[in-house]
Amino acid sequence: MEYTPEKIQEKLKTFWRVGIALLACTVLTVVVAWITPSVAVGLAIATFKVWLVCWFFMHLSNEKPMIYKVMAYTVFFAIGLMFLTLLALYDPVVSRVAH
Amino acid sequence: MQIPFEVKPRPDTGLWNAKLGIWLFLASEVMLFGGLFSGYIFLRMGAAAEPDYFWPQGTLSVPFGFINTIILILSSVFVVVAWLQIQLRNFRKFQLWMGLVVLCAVVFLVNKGFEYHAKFHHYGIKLSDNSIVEGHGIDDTIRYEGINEVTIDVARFNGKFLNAVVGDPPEFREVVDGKPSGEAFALSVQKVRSIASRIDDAARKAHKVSMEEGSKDVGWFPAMGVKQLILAPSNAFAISISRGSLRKSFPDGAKFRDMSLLKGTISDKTPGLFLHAVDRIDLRACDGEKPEESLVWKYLGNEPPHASHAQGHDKHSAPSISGAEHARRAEKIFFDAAKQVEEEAEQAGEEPDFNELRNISIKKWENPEGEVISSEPPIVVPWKDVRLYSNFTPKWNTYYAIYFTLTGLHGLHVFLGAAVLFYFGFCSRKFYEKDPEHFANRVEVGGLFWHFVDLVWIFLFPILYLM
Amino acid sequence: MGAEVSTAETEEVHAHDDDHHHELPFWKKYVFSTDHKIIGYQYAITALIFLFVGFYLMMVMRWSIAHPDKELPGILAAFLNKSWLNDQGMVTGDLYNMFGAMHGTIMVFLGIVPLAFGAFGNFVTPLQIGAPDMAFPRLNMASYWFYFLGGVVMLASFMLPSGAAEAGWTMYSPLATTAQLDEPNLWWTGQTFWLFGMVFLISSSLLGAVNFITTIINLRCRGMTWMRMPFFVWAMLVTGFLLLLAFPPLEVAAIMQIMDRLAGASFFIPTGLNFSGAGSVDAGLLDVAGGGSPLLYQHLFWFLAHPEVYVLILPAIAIVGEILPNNIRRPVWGYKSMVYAVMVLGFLAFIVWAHHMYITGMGNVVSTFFQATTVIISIPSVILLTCLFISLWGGSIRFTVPMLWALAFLPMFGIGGLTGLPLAFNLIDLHLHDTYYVIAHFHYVVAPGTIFGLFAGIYYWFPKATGRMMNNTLGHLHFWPSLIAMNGIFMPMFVQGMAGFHRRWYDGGANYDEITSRIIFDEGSFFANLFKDGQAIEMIDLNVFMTFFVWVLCIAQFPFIFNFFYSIFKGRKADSDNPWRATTLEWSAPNKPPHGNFVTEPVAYRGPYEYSVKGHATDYTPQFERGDDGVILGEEDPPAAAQNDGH
Repeated sequence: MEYTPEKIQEKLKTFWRVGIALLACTVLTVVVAWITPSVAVGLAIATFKVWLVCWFFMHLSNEKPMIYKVMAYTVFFAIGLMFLTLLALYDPVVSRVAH
Repeated sequence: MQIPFEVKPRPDTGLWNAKLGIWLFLASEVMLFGGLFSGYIFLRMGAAAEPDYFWPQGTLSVPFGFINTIILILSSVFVVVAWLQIQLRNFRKFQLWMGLVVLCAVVFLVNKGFEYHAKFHHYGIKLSDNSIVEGHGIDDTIRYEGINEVTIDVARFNGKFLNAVVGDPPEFREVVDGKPSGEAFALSVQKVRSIASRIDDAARKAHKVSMEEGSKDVGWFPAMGVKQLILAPSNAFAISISRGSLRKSFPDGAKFRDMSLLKGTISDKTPGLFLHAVDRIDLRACDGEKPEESLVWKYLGNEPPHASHAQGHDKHSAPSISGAEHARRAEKIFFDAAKQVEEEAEQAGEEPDFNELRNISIKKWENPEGEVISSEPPIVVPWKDVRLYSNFTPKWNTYYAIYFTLTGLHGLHVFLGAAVLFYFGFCSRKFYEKDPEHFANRVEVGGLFWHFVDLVWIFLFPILYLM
Repeated sequence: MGAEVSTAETEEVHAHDDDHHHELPFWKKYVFSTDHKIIGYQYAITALIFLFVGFYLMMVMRWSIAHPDKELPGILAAFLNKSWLNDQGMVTGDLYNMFGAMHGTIMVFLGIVPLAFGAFGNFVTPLQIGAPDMAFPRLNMASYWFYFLGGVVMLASFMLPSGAAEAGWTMYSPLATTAQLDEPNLWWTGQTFWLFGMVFLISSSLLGAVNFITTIINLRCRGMTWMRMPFFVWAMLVTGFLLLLAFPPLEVAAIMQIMDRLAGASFFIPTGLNFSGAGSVDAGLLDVAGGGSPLLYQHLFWFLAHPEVYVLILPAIAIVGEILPNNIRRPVWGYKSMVYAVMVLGFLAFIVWAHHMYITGMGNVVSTFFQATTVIISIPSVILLTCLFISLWGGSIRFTVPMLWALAFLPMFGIGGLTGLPLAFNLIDLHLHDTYYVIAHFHYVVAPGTIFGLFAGIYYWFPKATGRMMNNTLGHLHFWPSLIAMNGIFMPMFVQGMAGFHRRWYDGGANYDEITSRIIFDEGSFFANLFKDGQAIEMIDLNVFMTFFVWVLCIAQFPFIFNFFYSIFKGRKADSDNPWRATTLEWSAPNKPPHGNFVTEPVAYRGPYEYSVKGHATDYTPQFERGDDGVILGEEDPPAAAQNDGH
């Protein structure tokens, strides 16, 4: 990637805007949690913030396919770990036969 | 020898080595924190399924967490700005932004330190009926009197209990066949070793003789040696020690970490665990049908007989009011507040929230008439009724366990990341001048790691502080 | 890329057999080296030592199983703390537990993985892809030293008053959390040392994995396209991913268990756990909050430990995949299907872990899911094995020593793999769980399987590393007794396991007869007919049989040890840089490759296994030989490239 001064100035602006968006989201999280302690909303906002950081700051927006592949597998397995362990927690041995 | 693609990207993958490397490393970090998060979910869901376990909510200071989130987000912006400055080959400005990043990291860690400090000095006691009181200023000194027999584990003995003896340590004699015998001696690790080896030597000789007489072809093994020594002090003595440093405390004796068992009785001077200023009473898990039946009310307001002992902690309550008066107020606050919750729920036509009904801060309460009552009663819980006590560390419950593990590990990442960025910012001038492109790559890699640290915190903030 | 290697210097190096122009001091050249080959040797030597330590622990255990009423022989007792033996000089249950736990730990984490991944991966991978070194040489060194540190911590734990860890190699909580609680200082216990040792080992593997994957993706030489990579490199890539993504959850588990032990947390301790303790020293309720879950530990542990199984086996399959085509003088059959199989294997390996936990009380949904994935994962494994078997058909087989090991690997791994299938099914697993059947199953995979593969690799790449061949006769003396002894040890375990022998009986089931007489099988059922009265005695007799073969196996290793050191200095010199007439790139580097590996720039002109190609003068056409039909992919027409790619 070529880094011309104009491009960098442009990027600089983007970064500051993303930073402000992140701060706004943080305030939003706290306000939402204050109104109603909803786990889903809190996590949704956090996920959005994480996406912002990844996409712009870690410039995933402009990354090579190899990195996408690696991260996709990783996220898949991380979610698999969480989901399957939870599934095991909520699926204890019970008799499904009628009494 | 030069490793290819250290600086320039490989044409077909479009990546230079370190960039691929850091992303792979971050992948493993995702799994690391993913594992911790699944631990968090597992524990929290598991707690929800248990009748007597309540996931603590709102025990952390949201402003603290909020400020730390802001700091980390800002530092993340600073780091990309610093990286852009390097792309412009503007080292001074780069240093400035990098300095800000490191400053943010330091502020973050200091904040964290304050938060940890507050948790370390806040205590909880779980009573035998599962009622919980929380507060400040603990005194868990326990005193045993009339100790007239000491059993020592020969292999493990470390002599620590002698430090707890009140007054001069007594002299001891060995107990053989239930009677003290031999000469009195001052107890020490060496002395125990020498007694043990004396007994072992005798046993070894006896074994040899019996082997010569019989025919069993087995040598002498250490397992045949002496394991325990019973000692009798020349006069009954007393020990005074923090209960937390004992392995186990019984009504008729104390067992130290090195398995030394001292037989004696608990002194009246330390009837129980003393908490100087209770600020929250939590009766959600209380065994009794009604909150009135909790053991808390029985012990609240009691002060230990040697009240002067804990004067040092005394900054939480006004000295003019007695403990009993504090306790009366606490009781009033607890039940009035609960009643208020019930009434409000009734007006709204809902079931009252169990958590608000049974878990109430008694420090300060404003009743509907606008009158402010404050209370910070002391409490003395007899040892037999203490199920668990701890400061708010991993020991207290699984929430603090996962909180300290997650934030501790995250803090370690912050520290290491900041150290690396500091190195780039302030110790790498020469390298920059030699190969600015390579240096820019390094800064990018460091920045990627830093963003990752930031995004872990973005998840940590809501799940630990808000939900 | 490799062009930067200074020609003058490397020629000098070649002429003087590894003498550098600017001689590095000894400690920098051989101890804190960043050269991937030296690090590979370091891994190999350290891991071989650990393999022998693990073997010794096993000999003590097997003695106890076969002869629970006899004094431990002096030759075994000489190396252990006598106070661990009982007052008759016999192995105690505690000692058996400790050695059992450490045997597993040492063999898996300190022996086989470092030898397979650390040593072979390090030595062979960069050579096979034509790279001058690993992508991050210093990280590579750090990786070795983390491993070394982990090993030292593990060994040091034997010196502690508490002895080493003793809660099984899986360290299940709450057993592991409450073990050795009777020590005055919990930091100073084998259990705690194990956890810290694991943290070091995990860090080592993570750094290693990052390095391997980066190297393979980014440092392939000109013409080394994905489908021209030798199968070994593919296996290393997949293994790297397994380590990279599976190890962190174990690190989490280790950290949590450290918190449980040292900070009094209760991650893995349920509410109201009643602790009887060793000798009931602290009987009663534990002084902890509770509220944790032992199952959480098992999930985190097996999330690593199942992929770990493939970390153990893939390098061995890969080594065999290199040696086989070389010794049958024809291409490996189905190279592409092997590559895809190994990728699918790597993917599925992450979602089968809970088949180790059927007995923990999982419900139908979860156990059915894991049952299904487990059965599915056998498909790629079978593809790999089948491809290797079919390759043999119509080949002109050379029975060299590495080939003997590789050939033996196939049926041994086959037995291990196929006996795993019944364990994938919930119902059968409930019966066989924790019996010797399981032991036999995974030992067939790992001991006669992986270790045979690793021996094959040692014999095969020895000339590349030292310039000398290993002795043939001694090789045979090593191979045949080992093959017989391995089967003598593990085959009877299947029988014992189906009879219900539990893996953790330190007396080898001395009380078994009594126990079985109390178990009531359904009249006429399979088990009732199989285990009539008195059968158990015969089962116990098998213990003596197996332990005899353990001694045979031990003795069979002496020719190898002697051969190894003798051949380094006195072995027959390799006739060329390519003594096996092999095709892959490592054989284009000079023997004892210098720092930077290649004298001339390595280029891959063709696929990795072009043996007996029609129209060629020799029966092998190396990747690095341009010939008439060599094509550098990516620099030629894509259609021509595609044609050249397949066989």
